[in-house]
Amino acid sequence: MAGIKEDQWFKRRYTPVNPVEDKEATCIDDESLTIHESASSEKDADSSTLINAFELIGMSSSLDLSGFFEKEDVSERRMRFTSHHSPKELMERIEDIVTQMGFVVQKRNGKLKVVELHKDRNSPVNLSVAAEVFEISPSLYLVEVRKSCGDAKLYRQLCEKLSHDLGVPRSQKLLNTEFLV
Amino acid sequence: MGCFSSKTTKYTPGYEEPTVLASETSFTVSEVEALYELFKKLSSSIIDDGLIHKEELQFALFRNRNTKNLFADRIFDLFDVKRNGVIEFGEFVRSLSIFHPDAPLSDKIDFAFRLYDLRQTGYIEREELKEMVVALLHESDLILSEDYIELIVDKTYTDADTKGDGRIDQEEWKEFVWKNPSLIKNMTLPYLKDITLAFPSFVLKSEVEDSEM
Repeated sequence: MAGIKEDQWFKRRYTPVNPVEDKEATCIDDESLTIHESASSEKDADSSTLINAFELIGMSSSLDLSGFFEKEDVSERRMRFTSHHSPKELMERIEDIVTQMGFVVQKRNGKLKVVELHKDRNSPVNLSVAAEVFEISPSLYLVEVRKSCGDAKLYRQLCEKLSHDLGVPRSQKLLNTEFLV
Repeated sequence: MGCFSSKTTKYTPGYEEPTVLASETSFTVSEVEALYELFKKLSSSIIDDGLIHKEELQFALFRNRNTKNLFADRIFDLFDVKRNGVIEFGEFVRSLSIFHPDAPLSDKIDFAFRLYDLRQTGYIEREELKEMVVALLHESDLILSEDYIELIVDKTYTDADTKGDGRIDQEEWKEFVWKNPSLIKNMTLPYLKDITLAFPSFVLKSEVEDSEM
């Protein structure tokens, strides 16, 4: 048997099947992105700046090729809403809301990471979500909530609550355009 | 001959050997083979001809073949290196390679520049920047006043156009990205690092070929 495994022909075709314990657990964490984030968030901390146009553009879903790899539609794993609350207030209130819902929060590089601890210790991660705030103007902020893995229904519930509690009400959005100078 | 049908492995048009592609990109041979599985899936979603058409790219990104989008158009044009209206496997792998976490930063910066140079003049003009901002706002259902859009575009443009000649060239873009690294955040797909895990169907493929022996 060992001899067969050594054979070149076998090696070329054979891929050992990787038994993945829990599919949900293999969350691709965007660690590589957090390194970039810290540079810009430090800059934004001292001055109230306008969002960089290229940063805004870069948020386009169509420039996000992860759609190739994800089974779910982008709307199932990423949600954005605008808010008049300041970033500090937003982060605090998001933390309050999610903690009340039974989630655990980790803060890193200006981003908030939400993890739900399942009661069953065998599968501790049930939902992993990251929240980030972008300044569009001194009175208007964009909150992005991204799901890296976990239950879709739970994620939707969380997003609805956050945008309902913290977002700009739909009716107000159109009126606000005059004040955003 | 026998009762079983012998299945000859038919490759898609524009197919290139995984070993060749691996040597010229940031992918390993197994990763290129896994990408082939992805490619076959994407290229057969609407027109089953082994090539990715624009509608199929739109479908892959938006789950809607009809969603026309400025940015998706640019992505398509850049992936379609030969400019023959379709994306072949080789083009697909070489372009995706730029999004690999290990790909050279300069490749990412360059790709982003060409992406944003909407009319391919070699410069990112102010009108192009504004057009992209408007497209993004429209796509995200965000409403900002005209004045505000001008403000954002002006500020960014002033920051980037250090030579003050009314357009952003590649050199200015490079400098700008060095100062704001998050601008090319969308040029990296962490998925590409573990693509063989994402496509276990590759294992099935080996089994199919074994049956031909």
